[in-house]
Amino acid sequence: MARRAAQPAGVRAVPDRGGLLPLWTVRCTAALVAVLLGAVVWGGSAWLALPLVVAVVAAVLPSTGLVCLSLLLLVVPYAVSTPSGWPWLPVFVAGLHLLFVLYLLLLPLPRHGWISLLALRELALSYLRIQAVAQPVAVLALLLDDDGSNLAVVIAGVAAVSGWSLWLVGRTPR
Amino acid sequence: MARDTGPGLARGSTARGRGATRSPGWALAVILTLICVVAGLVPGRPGTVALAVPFALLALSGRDHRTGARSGTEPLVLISTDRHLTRSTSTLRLLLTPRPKEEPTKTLAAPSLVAITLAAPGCPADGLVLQADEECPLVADIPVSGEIAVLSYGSAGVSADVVRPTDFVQAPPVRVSVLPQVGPTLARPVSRRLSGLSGSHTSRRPGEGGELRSIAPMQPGDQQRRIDWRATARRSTDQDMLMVRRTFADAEASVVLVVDRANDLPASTEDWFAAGTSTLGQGSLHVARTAAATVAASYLAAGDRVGLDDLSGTRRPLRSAAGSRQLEQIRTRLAGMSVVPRRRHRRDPVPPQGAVVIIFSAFLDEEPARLLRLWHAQGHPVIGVDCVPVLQRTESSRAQDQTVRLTLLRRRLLLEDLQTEGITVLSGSVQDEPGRQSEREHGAPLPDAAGTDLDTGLRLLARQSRRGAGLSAAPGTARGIR
Repeated sequence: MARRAAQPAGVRAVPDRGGLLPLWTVRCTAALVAVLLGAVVWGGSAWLALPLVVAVVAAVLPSTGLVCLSLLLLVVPYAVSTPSGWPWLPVFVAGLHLLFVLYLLLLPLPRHGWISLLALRELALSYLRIQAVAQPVAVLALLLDDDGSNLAVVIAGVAAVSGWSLWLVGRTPR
Repeated sequence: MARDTGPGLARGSTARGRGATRSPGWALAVILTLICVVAGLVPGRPGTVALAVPFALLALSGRDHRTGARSGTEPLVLISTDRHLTRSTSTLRLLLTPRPKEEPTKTLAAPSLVAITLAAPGCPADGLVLQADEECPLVADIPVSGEIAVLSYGSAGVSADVVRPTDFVQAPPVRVSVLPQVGPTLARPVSRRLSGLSGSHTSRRPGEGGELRSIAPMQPGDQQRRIDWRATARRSTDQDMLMVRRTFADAEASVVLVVDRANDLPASTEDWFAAGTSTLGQGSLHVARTAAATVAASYLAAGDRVGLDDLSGTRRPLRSAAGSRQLEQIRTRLAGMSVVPRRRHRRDPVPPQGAVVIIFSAFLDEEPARLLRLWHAQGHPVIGVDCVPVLQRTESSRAQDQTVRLTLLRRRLLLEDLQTEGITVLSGSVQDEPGRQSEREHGAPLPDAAGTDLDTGLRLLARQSRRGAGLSAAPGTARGIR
């Protein structure tokens, strides 16, 4: 017996104004940034597919674990495989930060949705404020590269960062 | 060692609160900072350490923030009906506005972004990210009739650096109540046992009215204004006897509408098997609401008394009354009728004496049929209105197909039994000819069809009752049926 196709169960409530971007553009941007950064640090390796797949899945179905895995799949290969004095370091710093912000923005949101341009502007301003500090540090790091390892510096640095982290974690929130 | 339990500690404990935790974004920022710094320091690569700078800044930014610490019981946004905008028949315009700030908090910065989750019935949720003080109009679909939550929503605040979110707070859903539409006026079959001393119907009792009963010699007690001078001149040639006109008393009819809201059968048969079916579509309850509102309006327009009851017995019945206010009350009560399982009655409802009883039901079980038989046996004129909408056969499996067929077959047998016993059952749904045509083409033998539609059926019953009474009725009135 021929049957008619079932109607959709309901109709979405939709915003009725301009100045909104669908969330899939943010997802695509996050996936694209992750793919580009992954292609840079995993270039020439057969394992390139792994970070790409993780990045795309993390952009489409974000969860804390996937986001963390995707970011680590970019940070660790950078630390291990990129040569010293790599000139794209400022771009990588900016890209990694952008990816982090986009992932965290998508984390609590449903799969479909919209984001207003004003909200994007707010995000962009905050992003640029942090990048205003991060970019000079990245350039400075480029200049200081190939300095070689120093045990005392490593121990002092790790101790300082660990102490800082413990201070952050143990701090009583207001 | 004694611990300080002074005000400082007490404040700290309160601030941490139960269930107060760091946000995942902040934790992720700290983890990435540590990894980058350690991975950079060990091989002596400042570049890797530089990767940690944005994450370290974000971790610092969110150092004082915990989700759950904020007493976030109030949503950050409100959605209300936009009264300045016109509303079409099937959609509702809503306005999403930021909640007005009661008092500025010094210790906690207000989130600069708001992430709103919107969920319309029968749809997956949607997200909407706005600036904290941004408004946004929304368009949502509304049901054809009835009262439902058209939109559920909640919101969470997010800082611009995204590491300081606030808790998600769900707001009360947006509920709308759509009154059932009133269709064109229907014919009004009435009982022979009419009551009252006013109304548009002619009773069988002598009294004040417009319908001539007899012309007879004047007797003591006859009013002078009843003298028919022409008849006197014609019949009493000696002018020694006055003739008076005697009439049947005017009376009003009483109608009780009984709605069966034990189930709401969707038009699409696949939705019979879905757990979270949308209530926006045209189900059997919508057909019942519309048909009952139309019948009520038709009777009330003629000055009759109409009451409303439901088979579930969860609310007190609406007592019979006349007038336009009664129509509004009936429509409001009908709009508020949702699916409620039937309660076991201690005793069956008793309609007023001489009232026409009309049951609006999908006739999926014996109960409405039993009550129809009972009231029919008690001498009430009874009419069943079958409220199953024009079905779209969309079953997706053989089991569903068989279930639908068996259900419709059972209904058909039930309705045929009623017809055999002399109880009229009319179809309350609008007869959509193309829809019916497609069902016939697809081989479904229309076992769900109850027969005559409401308009035609009531007209036939009204005519039948006039003939049965053997009296001529004035235009727009009807004689009793039994």
